[in-house]
Formats: sequence, structure tokens, C-alpha cells
Amino acid sequence: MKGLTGFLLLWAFYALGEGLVRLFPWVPLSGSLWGMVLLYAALAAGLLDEGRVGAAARPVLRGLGLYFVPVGVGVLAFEALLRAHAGAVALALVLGTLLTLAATAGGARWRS
Amino acid sequence: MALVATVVVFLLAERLYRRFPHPLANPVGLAVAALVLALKFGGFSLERYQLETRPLVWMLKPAVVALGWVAWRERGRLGGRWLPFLGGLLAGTTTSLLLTPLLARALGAGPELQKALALKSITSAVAVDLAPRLGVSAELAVPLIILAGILGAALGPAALDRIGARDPVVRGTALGTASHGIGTARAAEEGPLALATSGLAMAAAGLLTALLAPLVFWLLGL
Repeated sequence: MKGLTGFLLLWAFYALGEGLVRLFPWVPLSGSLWGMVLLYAALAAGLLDEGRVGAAARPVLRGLGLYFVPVGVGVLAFEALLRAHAGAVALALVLGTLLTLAATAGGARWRS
Repeated sequence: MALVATVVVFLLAERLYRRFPHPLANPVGLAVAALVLALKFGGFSLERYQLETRPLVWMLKPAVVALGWVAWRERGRLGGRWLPFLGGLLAGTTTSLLLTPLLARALGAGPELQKALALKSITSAVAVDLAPRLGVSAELAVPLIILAGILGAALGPAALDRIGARDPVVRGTALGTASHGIGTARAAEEGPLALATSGLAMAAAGLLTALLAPLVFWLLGL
């Protein structure tokens, strides 16, 4: 029961987020990202019981990897594009990931 | 039927990962690869597959909202070390957003791939909503994101050792910023502090990328 009300709460924050997308169309956030910000703010303001939110958030997040598997399978539609640029994509991914890791570590050490 | 098959394949992939817990055996990557092959050689149309599995993808919306709870829960473990966290997040996110598409451009990739690659470091959960708003197909961005996650989880810890990053806050921030959830799973092996900063970085990198991407794409003429 605690989990169910928490689950509905997550959807409610998503709906609220969609409302803010309509209200502030110049802010480049999606409804779910607005919802994430609002949930953090509500928890920080002490408006919500962390235990109740956690009871719903934990099972929802446990399946996170599963939810975007169908989107990943959609790569089939881009097979030709990716084949044509396989080398560029591979190199950009490897170098880009290593550079991002190094830049993050560098930035984090700047004031630590 | 496609939905049930997806769940079963994913659970099997997870089971395999538990036996061989190496980043290359990542369950999301394995499940996507297995289903791509099944569709390609099984004569099942992609359109029908995506229509039947849509309820799974809907679950991403409350899941992204739930990341706000993750960030709230983990922020306490940072112990007030917000400056290194934010410095790393900002440096890593702008590097990924700017340099990855420029690298791809130098290597001859067109604007569609450049934009999709620019999103490589955010969690797929955020990308599914965000990509279409930026004129990128989520189906192109998500597989690249999964690959970037696997690469970061496989190469990240050794790369961080090499540049002398030993602080768990620094390592967690780097893994979460560069490789989202897959990097965070790897950070979990390094301890609770690296896990907490990585989870926080994953949520924050998604948010920061959403805010910065329109400006960066405009600067790059994309």
C-alpha cells in the first residue's frame, strides 16, 4: 500500500512536470526531468516522507535497465547509418568516454 | 508477446551477468543484442515490436522522477564536498557534449550521429525523453549510450588509476558523469561513497546536459 501511493506520487510529479513544460516552454527540460527536480525540492523542503517515496522509487529503479531495452532494439532502423560510420562511432565513443572521465576527474580535483 | 519476450530475455541476461559480472556482459547490452538478432532473423517487424513493448518504455517516466529521490538520498554522503563534485560534473558534462560531436565530425560522421553521440554520457532514461526534443532519434542515441556506459565501466577504473585519481568522490563523480547507470554499477564495487557520488552524478549530468545541449548544439551549428 505504501509502495502504491508512492508509485502514484511518482506519476503525479511527472504530470506536474508536464504542466511546467507547458508553462515554461523556454526551459529545455522534459516533463520527467522537471518531475525529478520537483521531487528533490519537495524532499529537501520536508514536504514528503522519504521512506514512502523510497518504497516506490526502489522497485521502479530496479527495472530501469529493462525499460529502455526496447528503445535500444530500435537501433535496427539505423543499421545502415552505423555500419557506414562504424569506425568513426567507435573511435568517438572510446576517446569521448576517456576524455570525459579525465575531464571529470580533473574538474573534481580542482578544489578538493 | 514481444513484451514478455523482452522481460524474459532481460532476466536471463541479468542471470548471466551475475555469474560473469564483467562490464562486457552488461545485461542491457546483452538483451538488446539478443533481441536485435531475434528480430532480424526471426522476421518480426520492428514497428510491431516497439508497439507491443511500449508499456515498458512508459515506466521510464516515473523512473526518471525517482532519480530525484536517489539524488536526495545520496547528497548526504558527499559530506559537504560539493565543490569537487560540481567542478567534476561541469567539466565532464561540457567535455562530453562538446568534444564527442567534434571528434565524430572530424572522423566524417554527419550531424545526426554527432548529436546522438553528444548525448552518450547521460542515462538512457533521460535520453528517451530528451533526444526527440533536441531533434535526435532516441533509437539512435540509446544504443550509443549503452556502449559508452560499457566502455566507461570496463576502462574507467584503470584509466582513473593511471591519472592518479584515488579519492572515491572523484572516482564516483567521473564514473557517473561519463557512464551513467552502467558506470554507477561499477562504482558500487568500489564502495558506498563512490556509489553515492556516482548515482548523484548520473542524475545531475542528465539535468545539466538537458540545460546545456541547446546552447552547445547552436554553437556547433547542429
